[in-house]
This record gives sequence, C-alpha cells and structure tokens, in this order.
Amino acid sequence: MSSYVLAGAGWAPFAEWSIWRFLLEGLFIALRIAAVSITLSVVIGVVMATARLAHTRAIRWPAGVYVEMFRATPLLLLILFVFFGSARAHLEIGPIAAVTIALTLYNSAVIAEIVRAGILSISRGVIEAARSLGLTYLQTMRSVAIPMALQRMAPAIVSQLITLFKDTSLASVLGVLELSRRARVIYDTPTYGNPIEVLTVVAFFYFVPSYLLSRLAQRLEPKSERGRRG
Amino acid sequence: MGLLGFAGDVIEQIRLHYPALLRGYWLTISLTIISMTLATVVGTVTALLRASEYRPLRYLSSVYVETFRNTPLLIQLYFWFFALPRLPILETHLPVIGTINWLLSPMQAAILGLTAYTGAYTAEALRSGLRSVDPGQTEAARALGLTYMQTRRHVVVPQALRIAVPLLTSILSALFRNSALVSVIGVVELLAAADRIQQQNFQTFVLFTVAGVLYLSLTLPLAWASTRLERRVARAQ
Repeated sequence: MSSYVLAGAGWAPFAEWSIWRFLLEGLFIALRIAAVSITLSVVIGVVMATARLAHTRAIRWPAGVYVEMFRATPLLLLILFVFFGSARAHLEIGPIAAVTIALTLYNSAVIAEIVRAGILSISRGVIEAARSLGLTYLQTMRSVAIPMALQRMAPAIVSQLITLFKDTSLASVLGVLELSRRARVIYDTPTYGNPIEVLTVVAFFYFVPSYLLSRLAQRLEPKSERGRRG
Repeated sequence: MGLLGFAGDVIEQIRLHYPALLRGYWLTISLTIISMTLATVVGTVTALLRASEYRPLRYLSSVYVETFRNTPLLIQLYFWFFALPRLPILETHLPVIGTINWLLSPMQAAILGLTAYTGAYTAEALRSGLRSVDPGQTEAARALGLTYMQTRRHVVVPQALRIAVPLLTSILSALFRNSALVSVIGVVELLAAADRIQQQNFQTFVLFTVAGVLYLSLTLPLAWASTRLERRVARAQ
C-alpha cells in the first residue's frame, strides 16, 4: 500500500511548479476568506456579547436569539441559505461573499459566547471600580471589560479561527476555486486521476496553518494554567 | 410575500414533502448516533494510549488526534470516498475478510469520516478531563490502600467525567451539524433532502427554514444541556 503511494505515478504532476502554484493560490483564497470572516466575526461577536449582557430586555433578547440560532445551525445550511436564498430574492451576491457572510453569521455567534464568558469571568470588583471612577456602562465595557475579556479569551478565539479556516473548504460546494475545489480540479483531470496524492498534499496545506495556530493558542494560555497542565 | 403567506408555504411544503424530509431527519439522527457511539470508543482508546508509558503508542495517538483535528472534515470525507478506492486491491487470503477492494458506499464513508473526525475531538475532551484531576488525588488514594484500578474507577474517572461531559455534549451537537457535510458524498440526509426539493420547486427559503428548524430541534436542547452541565461543574469546583 505504501509502496504504491510512494512509487505511484500520482506524484508525477507535483514535479511541475504550476501545480504547486495552482494550489498555493487556492490556499491564499482560503486564508483571505478566513481573515475577512474572523475580523467581522470578532467585531459582531463583541457587539452581540455586550448586547446580551445589557440591562434592557429589548436589546438582550434579539442578541440572544441571534447567538443561539446561528451557532446551532449547520454551517453548510447557512451557506446554501445565503447563496440560493439571495439568488431567489434577486440579490446579486457572489459565492465568495455568500460564504463570507455565512461564516461570519456562524462564527460571530460562537465568538459572542466566548466573549460573554470572558466578560462574566471578570471579577465584579473591577467593573465596580470602573463605574465608581465615573465611567458609564458602555465606557466600562469598551475600555475595561471587553479588552480584558478578549485578552483572557484569546486562546479560545484562536481555536475558533482554526475551525473557521478549515470551514472555508465548504466554499468549494458553491464552486469557489479555493484549496479544496482546486484539489478536485486536479484529481478529476483524467490524465492525473490521483486523489490520494492530491488530497494528502492539500490536507497538509490545511494542516500547517491550523497546527501553528493551535500551538499559538496553547502559548496564549495563562502561565499558571500551562504549568498545571504540564 | 408576507409572514402569513410564508407560514402557508411552510405548511404546504411540509404537507407535500414530509416523507422525504422525515427520512432525511431520521438519517441525520442515525448517522449521529452511530458515529458518536463509535467515536466514543475510538476517543477512549486514543485518550488511554496518549497517557500510555510507551512512547510509540503516545506518539501514534497524538499524530492521529492532530491530523484529524487540523484538517477539514470535507477533505477527510473526500479521502475516504474518492481516494481510498484507488488503493490496489488486497488479497488477504483470510477467512471472512477475503479480498479488500477499499470501496466504500456513501453511507460507510460518511460513518467512517464522521467517526474518525469526532473521535479525535472526543479523545481530547477525555484527555483534558483526565488531566484536570490533580495527581495528588491518585497518590492520596493509593496511600489509603486503593489499588491502581480502584483509584482510576472511584477517584479519577468520576472527576474527569465532570469536566469531560459538558465538552462531550458540545461535541455531540457539533456532530449533528457536521453530519450535514456528508451530503457532498451523496448521502441524502436532512440538508440534502431539503436541497433536492428546493432545486426542483425553487421554494428555497421555505425548505431551508424547515430543515433549519429540524436541526435546531436537535442542537438547541443539547446547547441548553451543555450550559447547565457547565454551570454544575463550575459550582462543584
């Protein structure tokens, strides 16, 4: 089995730089979708987390519905919903934009929960101190609670970024020529027909950024925690 | 189209297509239950191997966990379904097993893919549970005269599960959602069922809303349970 894979003609196309460039361009597209989505998700996630902790029920409630609904729905369903739904509503949304919107809906809901947990983990004394210094509720959130929560929850947010990056592969379902789709383009070419080799290489392309991010997440964990876990 | 018109369309589509939608819903549930059961076995074995004294076993299990967690499920499903059959046919000359042609049905590839992916996450959840128990507890239990197995069973595992169970609940919820991906290799589960109908009658909003509500009927109770379990753990600490 290993001798087949190692000696097989399936690796021959990889002698050409053009194949590598084709795949690297796909990786770049995947990374770009991930970068845009994570940025939007953190911004919307922070807004939703703050809204969920607001005193006014009319603010708390819609934010709660948004978070609970979008983080409990399959991402692929959201992608198809945004893409085909917008087409039915005669909105011209391209496949990359549709995937970015769907990824943002899902991940902003997840990050909202992460940030909310972060804000709730800050001791009451800190919040009260800020309020007693004359800061308003929103000022306290903006300059004390949210920065502290983001710092504390940085490992969880980086872990979510790994999930998001892997999920960009779902863009291929809409025909976006990102990394996964390009893999299929290569191995569906009759002269190549080498899914084992191509999928191994592409898996590696996903693995490297994900693994590096998971190491980063570990390093971001508080020192005491890291020491305890050995 | 108005909210009332939309509600009417929903009822109409459910009336017309409930057999196909229910079949998909049931397949989603079966896939999840089968894969979660298998993933729990795989995850437990992996977590135990990762705590083993033999370096090669530790190494192999962490390679498995890191590989399957750091690559997309979609690529893994493609691998099981499209790449595996390219391996040369294997004549094992063994009874029962016989010839292996590596060909998997969409359903088999789906279960293998979901199990392998979820197993890696399960192993991590169990490991973090085991690691959360202070080694001093094991030492204390041993000093009190409990055997190694007794210590594991009565002291370590119950405490480890307290940490692991909320994590496992969210893994189960993720599995429900991830099972939608097997539609790309031709398994007609809930999402694929809804998609096939909307491709024909263009009732996109209606059918995806119905599918979404059916998914939420499974994932929302789990999210709720997970929050409650987490709170219980937090209070116990």
